[in-house]
Amino acid sequence: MNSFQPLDQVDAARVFVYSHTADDGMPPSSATIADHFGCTAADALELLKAVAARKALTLDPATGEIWMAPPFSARRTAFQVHGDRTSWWANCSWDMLGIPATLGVSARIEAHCGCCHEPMHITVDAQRGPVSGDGLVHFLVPARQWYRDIGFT
Amino acid sequence: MLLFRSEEHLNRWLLRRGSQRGAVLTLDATWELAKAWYVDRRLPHWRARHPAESEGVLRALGLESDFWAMQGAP
Repeated sequence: MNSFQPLDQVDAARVFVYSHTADDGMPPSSATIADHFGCTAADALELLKAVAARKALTLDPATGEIWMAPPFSARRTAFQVHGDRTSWWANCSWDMLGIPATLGVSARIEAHCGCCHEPMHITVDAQRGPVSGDGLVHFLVPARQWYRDIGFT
Repeated sequence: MLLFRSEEHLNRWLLRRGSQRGAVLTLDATWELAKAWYVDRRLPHWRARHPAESEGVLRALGLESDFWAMQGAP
């Protein structure tokens, strides 16, 4: 029996969103998704809702556009990750390490201390992890509550 | 999750906010967590984990206290 199963459109949209983000640095807009799939922007927004329903994305409640494609952020944050050719925004200090971890790349991270907001610089080797820079990551919210208000978490 | 340059800065921030301390990981421990947690979502047949599976990922890294429990998560 052939176990190959073609991707449905929702999974195809997820793969496009994450591939675009990895290559471009920012998650795609609904207009970019519409261009790629040859559909209307309204259809692209419905597609994003379906991807979010599979817990792969968090959408901006006001616009329906991508807010978080974890570990990537569609908004500027206090955590910017620089690869050789592309830079990305991370949602939090865990995600700033999640980006090089999931992409398998070395990176320079520009972050800010949550207390004094002074810049902090961290270098990550794709194989060895953080090789320069110090810091402590604080998880304020217990794990079972992470997804109740992911923006706050 | 915020980043702090030291315990002193974390404690100052907690005091200022009136917040309770949660859990604190070093950068090395957070790197191990990031590697275990983030499966590449470009993979065609990626699926979100069930909370029990996610808790298993945390427990495998030694994050076993009630703070890291995920049963009952949405």
